[in-house]
Amino acid sequence: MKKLISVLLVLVTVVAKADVPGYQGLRFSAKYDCGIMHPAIVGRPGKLPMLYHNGSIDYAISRKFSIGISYGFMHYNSHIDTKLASKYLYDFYGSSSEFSSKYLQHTVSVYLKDFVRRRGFMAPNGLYYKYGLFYQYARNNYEYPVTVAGSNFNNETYKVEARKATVHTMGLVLGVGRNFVVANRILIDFGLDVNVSFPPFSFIDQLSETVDVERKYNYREYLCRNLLQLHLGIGLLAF
Amino acid sequence: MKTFTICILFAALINNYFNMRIFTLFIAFLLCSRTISAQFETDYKPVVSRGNLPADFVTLSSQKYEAEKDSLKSEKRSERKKKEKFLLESNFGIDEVLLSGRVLFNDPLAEYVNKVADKVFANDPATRGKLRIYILKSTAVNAFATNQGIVFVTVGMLAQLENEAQLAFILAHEAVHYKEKHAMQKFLEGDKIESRKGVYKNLSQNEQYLSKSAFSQQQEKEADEKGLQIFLTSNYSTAHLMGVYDVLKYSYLPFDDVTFDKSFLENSTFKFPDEYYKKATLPIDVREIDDDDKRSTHPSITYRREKTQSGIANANNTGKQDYLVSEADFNTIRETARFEMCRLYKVKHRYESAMYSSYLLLKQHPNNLFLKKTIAYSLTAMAQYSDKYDFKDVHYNSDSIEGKSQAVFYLMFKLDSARGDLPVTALAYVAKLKKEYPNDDEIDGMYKSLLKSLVVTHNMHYADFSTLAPSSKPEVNDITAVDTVTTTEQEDTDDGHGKSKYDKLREQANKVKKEGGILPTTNTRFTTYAFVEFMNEPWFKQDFLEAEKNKDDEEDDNRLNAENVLNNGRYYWTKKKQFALGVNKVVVVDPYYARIDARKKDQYKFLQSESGQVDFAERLKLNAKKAKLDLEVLSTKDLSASETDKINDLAIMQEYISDRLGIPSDVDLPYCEHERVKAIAAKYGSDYFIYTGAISLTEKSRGKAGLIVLSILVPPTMVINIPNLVSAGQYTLYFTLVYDVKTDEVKMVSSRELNNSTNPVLLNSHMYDVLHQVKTTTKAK
Repeated sequence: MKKLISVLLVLVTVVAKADVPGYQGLRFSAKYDCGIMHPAIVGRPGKLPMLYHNGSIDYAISRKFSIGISYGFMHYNSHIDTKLASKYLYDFYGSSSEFSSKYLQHTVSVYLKDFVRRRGFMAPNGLYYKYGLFYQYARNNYEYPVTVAGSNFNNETYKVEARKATVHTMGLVLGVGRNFVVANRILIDFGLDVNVSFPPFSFIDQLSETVDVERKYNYREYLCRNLLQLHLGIGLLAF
Repeated sequence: MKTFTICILFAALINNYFNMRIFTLFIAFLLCSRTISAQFETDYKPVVSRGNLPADFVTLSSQKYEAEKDSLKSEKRSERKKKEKFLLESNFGIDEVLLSGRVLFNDPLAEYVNKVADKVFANDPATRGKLRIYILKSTAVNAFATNQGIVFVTVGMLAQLENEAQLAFILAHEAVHYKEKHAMQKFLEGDKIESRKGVYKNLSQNEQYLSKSAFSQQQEKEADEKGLQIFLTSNYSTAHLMGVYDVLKYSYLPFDDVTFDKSFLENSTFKFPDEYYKKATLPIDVREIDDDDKRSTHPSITYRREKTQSGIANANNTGKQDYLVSEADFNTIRETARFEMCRLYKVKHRYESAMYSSYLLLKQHPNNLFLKKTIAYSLTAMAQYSDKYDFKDVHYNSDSIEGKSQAVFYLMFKLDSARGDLPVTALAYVAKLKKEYPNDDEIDGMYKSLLKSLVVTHNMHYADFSTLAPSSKPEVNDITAVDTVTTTEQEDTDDGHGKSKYDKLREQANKVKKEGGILPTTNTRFTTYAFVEFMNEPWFKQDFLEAEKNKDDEEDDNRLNAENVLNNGRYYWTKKKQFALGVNKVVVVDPYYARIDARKKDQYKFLQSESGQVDFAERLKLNAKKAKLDLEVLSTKDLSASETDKINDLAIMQEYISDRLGIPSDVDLPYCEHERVKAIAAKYGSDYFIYTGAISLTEKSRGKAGLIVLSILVPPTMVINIPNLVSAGQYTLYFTLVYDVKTDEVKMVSSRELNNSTNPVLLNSHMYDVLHQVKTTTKAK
């Protein structure tokens, strides 16, 4: 880790010394992005909007490239899919289950933006392609109905258990977007990111080993939530 | 000639032929001659505009257009639209000329022409009040009037006229064009012809052309006829009016026809071979041919001459004169125009014409430095062009040139460029001037440029030239004899029979040694003796040897190839060619902006181009401020009435940039008016001048359908396809050239072809980038 930090420091020092035009000399930008997603995308019942928030800082290292680092946060209260627990339960309760779910996600990413030179764009303005890596931590706290043993269809009884699933993972981020400079200071960013996760290196849950379906459900939901992200951001060209 | 005339006049006086008229003429002649001689005796300062800027220069074209358009409101829509189009095109077209730096106002020439106009329109003050007369710096013999009342008279016309009355007639003729609104009529009629309306239905293309010419000829006839009526109401005499048609007929000739003496470019030891000189030049065709060309815009000279002759047949010239302003002024103005012609030929790269015109004037003003420098520069330029196989760019084929000037064109053609004849001839002339004017920077620039050319391009050495005069026998001229080791000395003695080649050479070497001279090592053609009178001059020897010493450095000089860079804009943008000039202050010369929509019939968008130009200039200032670069913009779009100096400066710098752009990058030629440009640089406190601009182009986009299909078939490609679909067919060309006027070098060339629409942010990005490179001392990534 120390080596990685050293390399990064050297890289940043070198690019900071380079004589790069930026936009009218402004190379550093700080930005807030907001993503909006419909819960149905991840197969969840719930209310709109499903928001994620992202803060990033970018630095133009040449006419063509800028590098950046971002932190993203998502928190969403919803309900679990009752299908998970029991087909019958689902048939009875439908999707408006009373079993709650609280989802929390933290993402840190580093990326490189490649501005399209052919069309005359220079970092940090214009159409860009984005390539990067992200690290993510996600946690889902939810209530899970467990069928009481010995019950049957006509006489089912449940007890609600609090469950928690936590994911640590890394992945690739690929994106396309466009920065618009407004009033020579403000940066508007609109784009689409595709996040491809590697298999999670840590998946901690409190599920019994036998309940595989619940594990799969959590992971599928996590992947879907991150796969496509539309974002609209506003930032400031600082210096 | 002048002395002879004075003697005749004195004789007339002495022989009791005295009367007041002769006496007045005599005094006027003396005064006139002295005035002209004194004014041009030692030098010539190019004419410049003076006083306040006329409203024509300070009002934006769009404002003029809007004002004139308002007067059309009551007209029918279809007619109004056509007239609006004419007003748009004519206002912008005329302003393009007015602000090109080629127009003079309130200068001695314009003042004189305006005085003549006052006289010819003395009985029509209303017309006179509407006419604005300016001088156009052009060598063409021409005058033309605009729909707005502007009359342009060219320097070429003033240089050729015989008297004031002829100028008055021309002004009257042009005033009729204005009064009758001929320009607009011609445009509207042309539109009818092109759209084959009314009587022009079913016309072929050739017939359309003929119809346009016929209409134009009709207008010219009307202008001649009505112009003559105006002229006849004035106090100008018709006695010498008809000569105006000779001025027009022989407008293609120089302002005089005098034998060119080749000894002018020779010296006591440097003589051109006889065959290089054309003694029998092509005679001028003086036949009176009725060249009634139906395709011409003007009737034939013969027709016009006859019509005018019949018009003045019964004119009463009693009390009328050829000169109402002043004959002395006319002569001075004509002489000034002739000097200006020499300058214009030079800046337009018509070097042979510049040389002959200067030669003609030198006969009258033998000590005039400007004329000598014009000849020196013309020779230098021809020499430099000949070195780089670009000779045809500046040399006119002498075969069809009529008159005695043909000898100059012929001589330039005969001088063998491959063997360095032209640089040697030029250096011989320039070295003579250098000796005469040792402190003149422009002469020094030419001199060093020629030395460099001889040494680097032609691989000549100081030792290749003789310090001894050739003997009386003619030198070897035959090209076939050049590579032999035979020398003129051998021919003189002619005693070499039976001796070996080496014996002959040893003898020759001994002879040279005895006489204390240098043995030319190779070339023993006539050029070998070009510098005999300078070879022992310390400055000449030192400079020559210095040039030889610097030869290797010169060959490695990796100069910017401006032409290639401009032709390969994308190359330079994608290859990340970067500069770091480390300059603190720059001056931008008339920034350029054009909006072109190739999808429309009227592709050039005048109004958008002008507003774009204003915006471009402001944007430059803003980005320079951000780049911490001190930048001054000399723009033609923000002139105020008191900024005459600014437009004079612009004129000089526009000529400079035009000249630099017109010279091939491999031709190493200092600018011909280096001193004037240096003065401008000192005034603005910077040696760096920028020519920059942008062209915004919209074309019919191709391949849109393909992108749409691809997006449907492979939806993920939409991410890339949609931006391309949006910007398809939009292009921006942004160019910048930075000149160091001190060294005449192009310090930076940046040409960027961007596949994108021209928007403020895009322009800001690139402007800042370029200006940052001008300012910074560190090359960017």
